[in-house]
Amino acid sequence: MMVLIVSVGLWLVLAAPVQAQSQDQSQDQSQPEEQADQEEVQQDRLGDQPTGAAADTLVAPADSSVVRSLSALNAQAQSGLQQELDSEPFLQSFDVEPSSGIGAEVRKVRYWGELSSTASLEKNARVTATAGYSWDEYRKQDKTVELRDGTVNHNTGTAFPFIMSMNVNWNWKEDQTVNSAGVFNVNKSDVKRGSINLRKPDITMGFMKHAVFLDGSLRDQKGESQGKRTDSSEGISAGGLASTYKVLSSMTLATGIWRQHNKGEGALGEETSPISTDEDSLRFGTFYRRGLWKGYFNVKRTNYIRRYLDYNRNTAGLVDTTTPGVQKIVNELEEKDAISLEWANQFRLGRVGVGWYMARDTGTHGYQASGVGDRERLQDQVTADLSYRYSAQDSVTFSFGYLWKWDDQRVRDATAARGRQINKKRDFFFDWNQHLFQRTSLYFKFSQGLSQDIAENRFNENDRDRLETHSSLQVSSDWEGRFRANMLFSYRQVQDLSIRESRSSNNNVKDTFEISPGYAWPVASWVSFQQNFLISIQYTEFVFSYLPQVSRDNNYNKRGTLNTKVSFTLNERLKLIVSHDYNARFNATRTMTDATGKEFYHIDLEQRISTLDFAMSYQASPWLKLEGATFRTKDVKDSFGRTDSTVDNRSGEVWLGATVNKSWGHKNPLTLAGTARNYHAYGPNVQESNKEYWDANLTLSWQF
Amino acid sequence: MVMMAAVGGSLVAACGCLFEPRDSEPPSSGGEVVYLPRGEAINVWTNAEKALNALDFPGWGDAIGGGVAESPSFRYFPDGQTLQDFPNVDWDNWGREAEMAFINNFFNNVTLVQADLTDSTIFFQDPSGGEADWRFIYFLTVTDPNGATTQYRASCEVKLRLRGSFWYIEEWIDEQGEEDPGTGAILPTMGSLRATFVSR
Repeated sequence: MMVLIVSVGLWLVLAAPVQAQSQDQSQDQSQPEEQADQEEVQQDRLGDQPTGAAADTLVAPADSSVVRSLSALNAQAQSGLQQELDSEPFLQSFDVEPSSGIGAEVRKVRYWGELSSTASLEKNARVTATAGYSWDEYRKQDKTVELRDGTVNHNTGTAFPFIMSMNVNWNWKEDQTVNSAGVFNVNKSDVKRGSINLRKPDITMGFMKHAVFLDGSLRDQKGESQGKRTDSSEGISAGGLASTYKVLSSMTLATGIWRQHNKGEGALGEETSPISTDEDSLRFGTFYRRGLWKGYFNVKRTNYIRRYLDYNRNTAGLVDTTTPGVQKIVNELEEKDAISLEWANQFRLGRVGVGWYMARDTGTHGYQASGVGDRERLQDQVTADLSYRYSAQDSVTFSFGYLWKWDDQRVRDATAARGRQINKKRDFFFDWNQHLFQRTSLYFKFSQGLSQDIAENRFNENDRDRLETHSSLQVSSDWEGRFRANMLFSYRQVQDLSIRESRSSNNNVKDTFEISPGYAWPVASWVSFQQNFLISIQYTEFVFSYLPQVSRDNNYNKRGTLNTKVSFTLNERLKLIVSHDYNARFNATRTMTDATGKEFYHIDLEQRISTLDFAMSYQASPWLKLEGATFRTKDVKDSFGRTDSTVDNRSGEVWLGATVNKSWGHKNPLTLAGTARNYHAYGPNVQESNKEYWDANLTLSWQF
Repeated sequence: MVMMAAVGGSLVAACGCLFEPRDSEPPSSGGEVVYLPRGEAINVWTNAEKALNALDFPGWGDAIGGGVAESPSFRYFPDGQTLQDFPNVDWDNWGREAEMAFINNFFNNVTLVQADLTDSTIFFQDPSGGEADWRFIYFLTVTDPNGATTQYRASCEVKLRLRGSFWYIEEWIDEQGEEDPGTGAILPTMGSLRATFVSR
């Protein structure tokens, strides 16, 4: 009923005359962000030299939710202009799609409904409204979650010399739980937000191109958490300018500035206080592509000052509820200042490629009331790679990475800083792909990485090193669908070393050797056969096991697996899969070493797990597929210690279900889609809630 | 091809000299953390508790499969209270990397943790076929460098999986905060602890 009332209200809003045109709302909401992400990745990977629009992405601070990529807006505007037709009718279409469904799984069952309405106006303008409702019931907990939301969006598109969009959102949530002691708790939130965004891309002034954008919004939030109010209401204004200058055909300069100001009032518990945020961002970058070189250089400075109510926090940043005499709720002032520089470059000459990336991030972050106090941080990063492709299938790549970062904390009221917590990382990678002979290739990989944690002035005992070395050799043959075979040899060594005496007793070196052959054989068009084997052994050597104060002794773990899978396609409708997994493992601990250095081990545990799976699917009709699967597991474990024991566990599961995708009507179709499965399980580890349950995701929708 | 193999082999050999870990101090007597063999599922849950109490980063990593290629992908799911209190944390992608970053920052910034991961047992049975699914109430007391303490007590569901030779915690689902046995107040879950330290 609630959904219906909300939906009718939104329809009335939609029915009102709309004076301005808009573009596709979905473009406005999601596409700019996606495009911005893609451009960012492109820049990071040194793609084509960005256009002025792409360079505009330099403007916005990455953590600002109201920012849109100007390049995406530019594309939107161009697209809108091309499609502008003066003779179009004002209201071109009005679509309504009510839908509802059920989503069931082992943890919870969700019932939901949604009503989505879209009015397409002249010149690609669009107004959309959605209303949603959901109800979650948890199966293992005494918990329910109710959600209600509504959204109306209107975008003026190309009717004006600028782009304007208006949004109204409402989100309501109530989360009720009863814990194991029978205590009821409720978390509520009711958030309303209205915003208006103006964009003016492509302002050309001489050699320069500018884009201007202005955002304004109001947000009102009412909340309750463990009986305490968490309310806030604020107004947000923001604006920015992005400029690009094509210095040469191969070089573009780009700058951007962004400023945001929030002001309002917040309430926490019984306290009420003004809240505010001031945020600035300034960027400068240059992009180049000339001959064999391409790359970019980028500098960004961001800072903010926030004033808000918060719980009193101790030096670790945790809410301090136990220190006597401490004020529980405080007026917090948080300041952050950060500068980042990065330079990426790539050079390619024929078959040789060289690339590097260098970056520095530094800044300060401080709290006036929190015991955390101030933090200073720095991070330097360098990566370099060299690749050589000496034939179409053969290549070799070397890469090296270096990371050095630290943070230093001066807790509130302290006279001196704590000391730097330093982390250093170095990595080396080597990849070699070599075509050996017809249909057979070799792949060799080697990597080594060292990570070090260092506490300056020994303010903690957590100094440690981790050295990880991995190499693998794989030979693969592929007889074009008739037979595939694969052989993998792998060696991995991990050294976990704590430096300080209080933590070094468990220092160890793990060596793992692995051999894994496998093949896939499509015997006929209706049956295929696949097997994979694996034999692995891991030795763990404790570095200080020879000392009397260390009780750990060296050990090894062996395992072997055999996976077999047979697939039958009996006809176009019926498919069957039978598979068997066999897993055996042995754990042993060293008991003694004789005078010749020979080591003797005692087997502590033997375990054999065997699982038989059977699955089938039958396409009963074009819109209905019947499915089912079952497995049975036998798990036998022998433990050998002071007393020997054997545990024999059997478990299994069977499920039957269907996948449906059925539509009725062509012009205004009613659609039922989704899957439903009924599970039955047994075994010692099966809880009451998953002995029998439904896993379903069904949606009924109608378009008109 | 031979030249490529030679060049690669030389660099691989040289790499061993590039990366050399530091020498460790021999362990002091009484400081040993005796972890149980990870061939048994319940030992992994016990080891996680030992790692918390000893502020031992590698011990926590062994429990959740940090740095082990074949281990299952760890996932953490917060309770509703945490979701409401920390909406800006990327809970949907809380995997092993976020968990290791959290535990590293956590251990580096507190001085004492008293953890009991089996303060109360809601459901516990022998695992079968390489899967274990249990529910416990855990209880943590955390002390910061100035001596201030914070407590966490909550019910959780944990799913462990046998991968290769060892068991690992694959999923940690915080359900809801439970009462402080002393005051009766509802305490937060470890979700708020994770949110506080992950972004340092």
